[in-house]
Amino acid sequence: MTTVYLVEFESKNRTAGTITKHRVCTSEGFITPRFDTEPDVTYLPVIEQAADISIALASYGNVTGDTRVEVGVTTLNNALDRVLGTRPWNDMLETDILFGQKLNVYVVPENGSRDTDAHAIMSAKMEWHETNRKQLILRPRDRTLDFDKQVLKATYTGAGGLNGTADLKDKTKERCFGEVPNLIPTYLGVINGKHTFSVNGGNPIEGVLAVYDNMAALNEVPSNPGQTQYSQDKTTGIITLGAQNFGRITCAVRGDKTAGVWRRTVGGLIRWGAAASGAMTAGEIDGATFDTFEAAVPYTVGRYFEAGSTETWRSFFDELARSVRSCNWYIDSLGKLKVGIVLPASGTPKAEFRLGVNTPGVTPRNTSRAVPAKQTVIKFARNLAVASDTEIADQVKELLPDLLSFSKNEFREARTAEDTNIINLYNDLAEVFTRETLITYRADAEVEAAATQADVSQVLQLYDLPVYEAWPDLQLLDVVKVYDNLPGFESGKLVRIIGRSINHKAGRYSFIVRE
Amino acid sequence: MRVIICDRNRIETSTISAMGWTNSAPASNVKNLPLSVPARSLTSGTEIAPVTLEGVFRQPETLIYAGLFTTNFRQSDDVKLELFDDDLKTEVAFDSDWTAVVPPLQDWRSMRWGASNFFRGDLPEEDFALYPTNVHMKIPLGRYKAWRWSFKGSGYIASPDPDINGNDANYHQVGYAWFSDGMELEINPALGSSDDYTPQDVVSQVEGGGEFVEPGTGFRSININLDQLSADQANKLLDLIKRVDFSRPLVYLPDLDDLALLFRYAFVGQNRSALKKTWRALGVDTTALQLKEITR
Repeated sequence: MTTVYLVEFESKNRTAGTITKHRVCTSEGFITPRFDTEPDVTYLPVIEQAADISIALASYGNVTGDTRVEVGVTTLNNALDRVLGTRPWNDMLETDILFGQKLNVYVVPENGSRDTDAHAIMSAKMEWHETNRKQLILRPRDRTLDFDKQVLKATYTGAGGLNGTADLKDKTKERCFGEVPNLIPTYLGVINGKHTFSVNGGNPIEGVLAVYDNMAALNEVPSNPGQTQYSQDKTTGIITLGAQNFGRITCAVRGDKTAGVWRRTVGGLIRWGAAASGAMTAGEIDGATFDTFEAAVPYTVGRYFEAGSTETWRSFFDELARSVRSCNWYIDSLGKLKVGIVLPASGTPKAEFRLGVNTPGVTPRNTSRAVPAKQTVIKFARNLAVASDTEIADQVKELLPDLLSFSKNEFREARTAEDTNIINLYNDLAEVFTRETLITYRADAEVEAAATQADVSQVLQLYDLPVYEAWPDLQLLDVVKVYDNLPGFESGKLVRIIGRSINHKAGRYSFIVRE
Repeated sequence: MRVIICDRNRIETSTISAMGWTNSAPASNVKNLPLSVPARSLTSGTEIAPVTLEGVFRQPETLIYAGLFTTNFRQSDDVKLELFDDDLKTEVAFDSDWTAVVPPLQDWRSMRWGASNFFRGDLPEEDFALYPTNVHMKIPLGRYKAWRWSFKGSGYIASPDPDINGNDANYHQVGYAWFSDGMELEINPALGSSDDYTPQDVVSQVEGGGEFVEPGTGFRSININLDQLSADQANKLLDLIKRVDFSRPLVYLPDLDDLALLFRYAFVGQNRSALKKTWRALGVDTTALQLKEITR
């Protein structure tokens, strides 16, 4: 039985804003059976090329959390074929737009059911389409690009009071997430006779842990602070200072607590941020993978966006993912947001591939072999307000060496012991692997350092695994077993899928796998 | 063999009644290709209450052939065609009465005792899905104004698993309907004419010599050599080719009286040949005609 590709895409009417769903398929044709939830629906058989995508998670050595997705095009026939009648798409293209609308690709066996037999290959939104005389070319766009929006949106009006002084007019309000050990708050001016600072743009916080004046800690009082005191309002993230004069004010903050939850983990912040950014709805976030991830990675992290920052949610998620070894956030073929760690392959394989049977064999990717590491250094507890000598109070310099050291350095470091086995094995050519993270506490950083060292001390090989059909059931991070003649594969080797590529027109499908 | 080539499907200008057919796959889908965009009825027909597909031509049309292509009728289902002289469908000009969808194709003497198709002589159940279920009906030459097809039986649902026979559908499905006159070719016994079937599976080779095959949809085709065309035939053929080019549909009928032959070899297709009318002798020309089945 042949396999039919279905593409369902939507268009939005320019004037009325109504969404129309269009259903097309490859030339075998498709009509939904009578027992489907949408029965007797026909698909127009005009697809010339169904899907051409390639997605790869960060592989070893690139523990960067960046997922690379390259999407090709879906080409529909727009010819004046007398079999079809008029050019099928011209009217629609005049009245509707396609940019930003949904495009989903499914594969289904001929005469199968759309409900039970169709597997999703790709769930995307569209870029601008291209037309030529005979074709309509739809261009899917990687959904992670939807997160290229600024994190900070609300602005100060500059009207005075909690709306900021005139120089803050139209500047975006700062936000603080997780726990940040040292940041520079936004100065709002003198309010009710006291110097006032804001740390979370007026949103509730978990609490301010310390306020420093030239790195000398001030005392907290519930209200009406005196000369060396401060008070805080947790529902608005506002710090009120008692001093008449002050040097350089910085603070340690446990940040954003909107909706009563202090979000402080990697998974928690990505999950919340995905919905808060507006780029995804709650239903598009795969709760189960986030729950598993948060149980495995409970570190406290912190990130402060100072007023006026133009950073995007996408770079924020990348930074969060980079705080954990081999961690990635990505959107799977069903359009759900997931986060996961690329572990070495283990467990029960979901499918088996054998040379000559369903694959022409694996090919090693030699370009990504990196140097093994003998030691890992995790940089954590980032100090966003590194102080120079003149900005540190004398009593700190003389009496508080740990605080002094913290104030002058951007990061604390957690370092694993040198691995003598690796040194001996690689003739001391192994490197020291260093990574900057958003982690806040030493205990978490040491756990992460140990786990990272376990990961970067083995240089796991990547392979290309071409296969003979789309294998829609296999998702990223699934484990499969491969039998081949290459070393290590003769009795079958478990590998983990970290990328896939589909070129339907050329009939080429392949996976990128890692040991 | 008396080969007939039909074009100018009169259903394109006919109005069709939508009653009894779904909204998402309405009766008007039989007026045009593709074959994979069919009309589906709401229920299946019985003798007392058959499912009907009926319509009125724009003007009285001369017909010799009616066909239904890519249907889901079972071999045991029956169809009936009535043609009328008037729009209101009161004056019956032709009534085919209930006829089987598939005519007897094989002599019972050539079959195994106890075979599933032994008594009716049609195709064994597992082979039925080999051919698109097309219904062909010969019409006595005449001018007709309105028409009505009636269907009874259960219909089948094609299964994605080729080893499972289709289940009862309880609806009827028709991809394309055809009413037309036709052009009879004077087939002189010309060597080299052929009925062809071409599989479209794609074979790819593996390292080590193995092969892997991706299934495709094969198509039937014909190559007819017409070695001695009279001037009249040549003119009619030129008109035909100019009308259809490569795009408009045609129906190829090997012999309108032999329903078994029609079931296996007749198809709706498109022309794929240029007309090369070679001058042989005064008043005698040669050309070849190549038609290819439309599978979608």
